[in-house]
Amino acid sequence: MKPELSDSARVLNVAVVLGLRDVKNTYNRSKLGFFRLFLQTTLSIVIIVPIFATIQERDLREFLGYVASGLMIWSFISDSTIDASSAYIRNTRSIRQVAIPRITFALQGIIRNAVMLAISLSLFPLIWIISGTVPNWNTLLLPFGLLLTVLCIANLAIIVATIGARSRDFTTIVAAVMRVLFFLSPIIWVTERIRGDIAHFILGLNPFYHLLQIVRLPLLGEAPTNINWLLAVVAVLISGAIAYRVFKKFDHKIAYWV
Amino acid sequence: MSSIEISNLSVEFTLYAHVVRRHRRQGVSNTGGKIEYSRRGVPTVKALQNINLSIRAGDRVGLLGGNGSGKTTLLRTIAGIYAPLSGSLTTSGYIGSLIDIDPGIDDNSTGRDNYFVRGAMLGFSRSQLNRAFDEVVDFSGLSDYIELPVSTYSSGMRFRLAFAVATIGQPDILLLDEWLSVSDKEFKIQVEHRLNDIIEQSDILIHANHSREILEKACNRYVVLDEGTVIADSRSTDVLDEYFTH
Repeated sequence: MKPELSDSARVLNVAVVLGLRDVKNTYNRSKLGFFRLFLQTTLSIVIIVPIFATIQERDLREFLGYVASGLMIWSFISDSTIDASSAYIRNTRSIRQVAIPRITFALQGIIRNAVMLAISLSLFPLIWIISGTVPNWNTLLLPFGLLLTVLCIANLAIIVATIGARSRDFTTIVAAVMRVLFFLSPIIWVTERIRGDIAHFILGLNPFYHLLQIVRLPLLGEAPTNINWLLAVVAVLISGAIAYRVFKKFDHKIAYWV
Repeated sequence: MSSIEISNLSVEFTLYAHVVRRHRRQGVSNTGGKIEYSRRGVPTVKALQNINLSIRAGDRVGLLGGNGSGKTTLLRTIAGIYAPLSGSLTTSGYIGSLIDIDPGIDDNSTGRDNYFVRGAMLGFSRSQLNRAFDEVVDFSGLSDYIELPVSTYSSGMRFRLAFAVATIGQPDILLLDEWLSVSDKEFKIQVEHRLNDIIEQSDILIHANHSREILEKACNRYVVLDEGTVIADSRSTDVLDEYFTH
């Protein structure tokens, strides 16, 4: 028997197999299983929504979907990026023993976190019922928003993972940066409160803001703006170009670094 | 036709995070590749230097050399794990490497899951792996244990799983490192049988070993490494005479 998969098919196949194994292992010994993930999400929503709705004088039910979607998307972005920063170091053994393009191990985390995101998004019908939002035609834009977000973060993961293989301090730096970005992105606060064009302009420069919008708004039954889509696509293209360069230039050197 | 073409190949490891101060350096060592230091004292291990080898179908290469002479590094480079830093390496043919026996075995996953992960890493598709599954369970003798996490396995059972999975394919080029220390007598015979089958059907064998008996039986060409360079490459067993009496 000889292997029948091409190199790129193999990368994707292994990333999926490993990513799914990670998901399975996370919930392996737990009696709650996937409900554990719901528990985490639900708990943060239940605590954050009343507090920040009150502070920002928002309607509680309307704010629920806003915060829930924001937290779910942000978990994906932040967990994926932080995971990626140590992806190669954690897989040192495999990297030194198996001849496979190294980006496999960066994509493994994307698969895992994408599955987690899908699981938590399955809570949304419940949120629609509670908040009284009815999904409409705009909701059909969700797959496109998700696709662009996952692509952009996958590119980011390849870049971050490569730097992480070379510098051990990077994991800590990435975690700190993601924490700051959490507060800089409208996840638990609303943009309507921002006064001034300059502030809006600065917010618009944050690519994560647009990724949030293209997933969040369809979930809330609204359509993202053309600027949101455009800048999300630009973010995917730029990160893709950099990730490709990084892959071509450094992927074969990672075995020497880890 | 399978072949391996290596010219002026060098592989070195720079240990950026380590600094060895001048007074700590011995200068000469009896083992390992040459170590060079940068001005700051960052060591670079010259694992392989200027290797030239041309290996054709039918070659059964015995790889000899002391500890740290570069045998495993050379095998890993041919396998595609370390990209040559200078020089070139071209191979044609499907390479099967039995360099490390249990890459990526995850203790928390079942034997079955590990089989599918490892098989995917080797490039086999899901359907290929499904077809070969029963044979692997059969060969390994693990029966019901295949559904239990590997953490419950004894070291012998781990080896059974790893070996059965590592040998699901028939490679054109087989890279063998010296790791076969099987405790289980019954399984040892099975392992030897399967290895011999695979070796016979492969076009090229590269076998790193310290045992003259094994090398003489399996190989028809002998390459001796020292400090990361090839110091002898011959089809005559005279090389063995010299190496083992030296």
